[in-house]
Amino acid sequence: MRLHRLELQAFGPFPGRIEVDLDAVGADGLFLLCGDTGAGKTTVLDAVAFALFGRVPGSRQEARRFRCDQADPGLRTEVRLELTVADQRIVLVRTPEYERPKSRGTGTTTEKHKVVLRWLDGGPAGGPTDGLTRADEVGAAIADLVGMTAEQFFQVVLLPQGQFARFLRSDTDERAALLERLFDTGRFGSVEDWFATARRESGARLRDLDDAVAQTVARVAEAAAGPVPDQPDEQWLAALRDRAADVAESTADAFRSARARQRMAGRRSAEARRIAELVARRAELQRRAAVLAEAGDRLDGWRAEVDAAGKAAPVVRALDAAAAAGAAAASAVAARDAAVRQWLTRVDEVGAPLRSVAALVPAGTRSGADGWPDGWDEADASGQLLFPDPSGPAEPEEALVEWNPTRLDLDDPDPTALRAAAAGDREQAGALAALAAEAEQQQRDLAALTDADSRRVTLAAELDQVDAAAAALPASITAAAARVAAADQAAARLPDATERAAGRRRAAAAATAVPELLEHCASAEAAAVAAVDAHHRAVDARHDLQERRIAGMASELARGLTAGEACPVCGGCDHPAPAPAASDAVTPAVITAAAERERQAAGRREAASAAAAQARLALEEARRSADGAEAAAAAAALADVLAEVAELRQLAGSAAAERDALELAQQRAGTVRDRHRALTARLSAEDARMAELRVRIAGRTERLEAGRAGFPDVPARRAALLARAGAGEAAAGASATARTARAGWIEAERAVEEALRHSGLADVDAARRAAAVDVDVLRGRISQVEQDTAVVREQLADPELAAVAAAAEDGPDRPDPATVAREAQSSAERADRALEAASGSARLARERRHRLDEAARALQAVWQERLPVLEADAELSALTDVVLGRGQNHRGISLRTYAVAAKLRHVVVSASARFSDMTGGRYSFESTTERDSRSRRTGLTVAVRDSWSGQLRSAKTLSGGETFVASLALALGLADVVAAESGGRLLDTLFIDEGFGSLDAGTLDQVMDTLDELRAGGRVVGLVSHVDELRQRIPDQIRVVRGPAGSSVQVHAAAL
Amino acid sequence: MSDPTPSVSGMRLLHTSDWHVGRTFHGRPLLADQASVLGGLADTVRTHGVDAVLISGDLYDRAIPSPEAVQTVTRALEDIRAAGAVIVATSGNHDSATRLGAFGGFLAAGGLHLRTSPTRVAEPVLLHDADGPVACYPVPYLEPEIARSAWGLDGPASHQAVLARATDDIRADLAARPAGTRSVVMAHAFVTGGSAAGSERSIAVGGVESVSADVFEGFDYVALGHLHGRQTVRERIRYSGSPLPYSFSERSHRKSAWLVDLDADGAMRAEAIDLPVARPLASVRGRLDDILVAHADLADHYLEVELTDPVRPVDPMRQLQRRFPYAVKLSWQPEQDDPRSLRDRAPASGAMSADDELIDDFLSECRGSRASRHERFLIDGALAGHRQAEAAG
Repeated sequence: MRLHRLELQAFGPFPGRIEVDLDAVGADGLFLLCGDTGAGKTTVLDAVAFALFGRVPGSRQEARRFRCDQADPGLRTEVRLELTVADQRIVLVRTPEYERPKSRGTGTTTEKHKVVLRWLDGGPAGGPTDGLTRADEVGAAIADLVGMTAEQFFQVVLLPQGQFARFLRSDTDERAALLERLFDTGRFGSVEDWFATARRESGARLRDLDDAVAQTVARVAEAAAGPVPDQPDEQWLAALRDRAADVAESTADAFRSARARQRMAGRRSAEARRIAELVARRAELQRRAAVLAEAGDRLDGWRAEVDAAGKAAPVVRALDAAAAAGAAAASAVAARDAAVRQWLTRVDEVGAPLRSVAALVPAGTRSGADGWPDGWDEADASGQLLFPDPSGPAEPEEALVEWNPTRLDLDDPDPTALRAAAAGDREQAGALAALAAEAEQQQRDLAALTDADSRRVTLAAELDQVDAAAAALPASITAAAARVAAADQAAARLPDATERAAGRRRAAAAATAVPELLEHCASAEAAAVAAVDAHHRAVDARHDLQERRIAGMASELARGLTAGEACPVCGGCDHPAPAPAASDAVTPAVITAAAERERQAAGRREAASAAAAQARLALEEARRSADGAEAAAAAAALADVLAEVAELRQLAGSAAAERDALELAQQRAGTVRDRHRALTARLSAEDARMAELRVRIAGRTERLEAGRAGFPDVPARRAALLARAGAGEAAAGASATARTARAGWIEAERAVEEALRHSGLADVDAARRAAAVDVDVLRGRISQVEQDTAVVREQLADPELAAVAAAAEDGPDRPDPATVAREAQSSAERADRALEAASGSARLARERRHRLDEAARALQAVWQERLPVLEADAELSALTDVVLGRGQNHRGISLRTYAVAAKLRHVVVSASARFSDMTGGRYSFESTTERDSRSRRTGLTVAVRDSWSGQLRSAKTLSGGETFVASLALALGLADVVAAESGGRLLDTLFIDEGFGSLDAGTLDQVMDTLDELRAGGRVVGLVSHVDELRQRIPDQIRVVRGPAGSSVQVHAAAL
Repeated sequence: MSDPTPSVSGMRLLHTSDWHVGRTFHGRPLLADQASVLGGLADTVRTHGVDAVLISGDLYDRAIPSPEAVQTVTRALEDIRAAGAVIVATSGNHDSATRLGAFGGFLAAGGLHLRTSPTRVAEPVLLHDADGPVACYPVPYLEPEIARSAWGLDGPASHQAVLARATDDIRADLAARPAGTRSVVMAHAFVTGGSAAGSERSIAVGGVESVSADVFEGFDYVALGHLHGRQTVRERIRYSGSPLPYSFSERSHRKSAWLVDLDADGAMRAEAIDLPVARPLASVRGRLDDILVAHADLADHYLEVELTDPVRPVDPMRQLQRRFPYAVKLSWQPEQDDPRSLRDRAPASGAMSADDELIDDFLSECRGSRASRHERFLIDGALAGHRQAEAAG
């Protein structure tokens, strides 16, 4: 850190602005701040601290009064420091907070604390190029650049008065913090953290593996169905496996022998069973044979029944058919009756007389009792009715003839007649079809008529509107034409008015200028008069001087005389009594000067006269232009004319718009007329269409009326006729069906009688009874019995059975085969169960062995995996303990502390050399590894070795002067080490405020010798002291001088 | 007291310098010793009939000497004057020029010529003998800055430039004097060819403190001060050295003053007159126990002791001072290097151990063994992890 320039204003005891070029003063490496007590020496260093950190060391900070009381109230208190730190050149300007009187009004206002940090060389890449103005930002930037807090700065760089020994006497924690900060040994802290984290992770991994081992051991124990031992190892595992193998083998053997026994028992049981079965079967067969013999007796009876049933069957069938036919006939008749009734109803509804298509029968044809001709039942081949008509044509013809439905025989109506009536209705309906279509068209026309009417009404209304509009137009056209004319007129009058306005303006301006010009003229004339006077005076002066010169010519000439030279006046070479030099001798130079002045005065007179003349001229001009009018009146006239001009301009401007309006109105009139014409045409068209429609409608109405014939309208009538026709056809069909059904029924009755006669049975009931027998069942029974008998006979002939029979007759005291079989069976069952059990246990043992083997393999694998991890973890754990200051670390120092202690050792060694020099070899520093009573850290205590007594003393036992020397040595040692490590980045500058007064002459000499050596090292050391000896020894000085109105500064530097 | 009448031909001068009255010697006051030695100087003056005593600077050790020192110097000068010689004295780099030269004008009337101002270098003190005048030009110590600004010199400040200018002015003045005027120049500077004794204060300016001897060519005698050892730079350019030894490196010096005779024709003879020794110096090295029983003859010497005990001795100074009351300097340089003292010494200054070396040292110190190969691997990992974290943010 190198300070370049410091400027103070109204700070501390300095009321004015102090500028100190620190580069120049410190060029030699050592400079002195000297001055009287209270002059402000320390203030200069305070200013440096204040600029950097906003605070000053020591108790002065508590007062917080930085402003100079004697400064001018308008002068700001400010400190400006230009420095290079961390390869960046910055300037800091800081103002403290203070009260100052308000610039407006009474009372005081607070000038806030302000600070600005600017980079002079562009700043760091990516940083703010404009500088920083917020106090916290500046603080952070400074902390970053300087690398120290204010407190640390005051221990290392700026050793303040009375507090220089802080570093020497600070406790271990404070010292460690400072050293860590300076030497950046925090990285060892992160190394410690890395180890701790690594150990945790390794431990976690190991625990995971341990868990896996435990799980696998549990699996093994479970597979072996044994307890989990405390120390599972290979032997335990091997023992388990062996045991499992043994068990598996023994159970397999047991299984095999059980299977052999089981087979034997099974065979024996099967044999016994067989024999018992045979015996039983024989007995059974014999029993059945006896039963069958009984049943054979009944066979004949069954056969007779079967015969009878066969004969009765056809009779029964015929009876059934007759019953069915009777039912069908009854239902057909019922249907026919219903249909006929329906048709009759329709006939009544319609009301119009039935007409049927009939062939007219020639006269003379006989008719029956009911009026119908004979042979009524027989329709003619074409299906048409025959109708008597005495007056009818000779040949039968077709015609629509009225027909009375009462002529029908309701018990058996003739289908043909019904059909003919229906056909007649259909024909009538067909005739009405065309009329129905016309009715529809009539409806449509009526609708069109209504539409046309409504349209006509609308058109009429529109026409009225248009007419009204047309009426209003002419008036608006006339008005527009008038406005256009007015605008044109205004445009014509405009130029003239504008010209008048210009004239008045000139007059007004001139009127305003007149009084001013009057004044100017007066002053110019006065100046001219003065110049004339001056000139006259100058002329007089010159004349006066010339006369004096002439008067004193004698002495002038006398001065030029030398002994032996001729006098210019008389030519004599003796100059016995030259004229004395006049005291007021006038030299030619003076004359010349006077002449010059006269000339200048003349010039000025000329100039002044000319100016006066000009002024007069200007005034006359103005008066003329104003034309005698006063300024106010001229202005008023001007205003009037300007108003007129404005009005005209406005009117003229509107000309074009008015013309457009006129055109528009004319256009609209034309449009209206066209519209009127169009509407009128459409209206007449509508009228014509309406008349046509009316005519058509009237014509059609008459026909439709006729065709209606009592119905609401023609289509209704047509529909009714069609319905009647349908009903008639239905009735005809039903009648035909009834007739057919009755005929069938009669036929069926006859068939029954025939069948009965044929069967030979007594009567119908007997036939039914005979047919009721279930023939199939009986037949089945018969065959079954025959079959069974045959089978039994066959089976009894079996040789096996014969053998058994023989055996049974041989020994009646032999055990019952059934019993034997049962016993053999139960022993076979027992053998089966035993086999099952043995098989089950053998399988179980095999499975267990298999599981155990698997688990054992897994366990061995896990053990294999765990071993190296365990080793690595142990090693890491041990190393971590050491790094953290525990475990094998018998010194109990953690790595971080050690690093700091190592750095401190370097510092101490370097400082020790200087300390030794400054104390004549007596004292030196040592860093001890004792544990500070209050701190865990060790190795950071600095003690003083007295080589005369060989004792190690605490730094706190040194005297005042010795403490100062020790602190200085430490500060220099610290600076040396930091410079060596960081390339001199940091502690290039050192300030020491007082302390020299506590040294005796010899020690002061030695200290100064040491400081002298620093000059060559490129470092700058600034001392504050009032000790005179130092003033003698250090040529570069900043002298602070105290005066009644405040202090000031004189800088004596070699480089200046 | 008026100037003594020159009685013999030839000018006899006594050249001394660097009294440093008031200086302490390793904390011991030397005033008494200095007083006695300076008294011896007065005796020499009387014995040899010296005409003028030249004191080339550094009468006092400090700019503001203590009252006792002032008294001692006053008495010494009075004694010398009483012995019959005039005194020409200049200020050195230790003296305050202004204070030393106070009332110089008045003192000159009494035979004590104090020249401390740079502006009067070319004004000689005229000494007369039967053969003629001897112009003695006392040049005080010229601080280059001050002299440069006083004379308005351009260019960088250096002793060479300033003294060159001073001697030029002197030559000019000399040229204006009658032929045959002998010249003596006094100066307080470090002339190339001289060797320092180590107790001189450095006067380097811009790193250079020496002046070429050519600057002083052409004068009959040049009486130099500043270096504490008596030496002859050139035949006519000499240092007288200090009257007492002021450091142990001077213990072999024989302290003396130059007795210079200048004949009428400019011939010069110089003789070194030994000064009384107040207390001799000695340097001893060895083990404490050995020293305590030997060197009986050094009991009254100022002693510099270097102890070579392998183990730091306890309370050596007190034991030594019981036997050698004037033991003033003590240091301990053990013969073999044991690990502890190695550690006390710095590693080669500036050579900072690399991080992993530091960790290695840490392990060996705190655990007793250095890092194994696998541990080294772990340590590298930790350091790499830190670097990565730093790089990342």
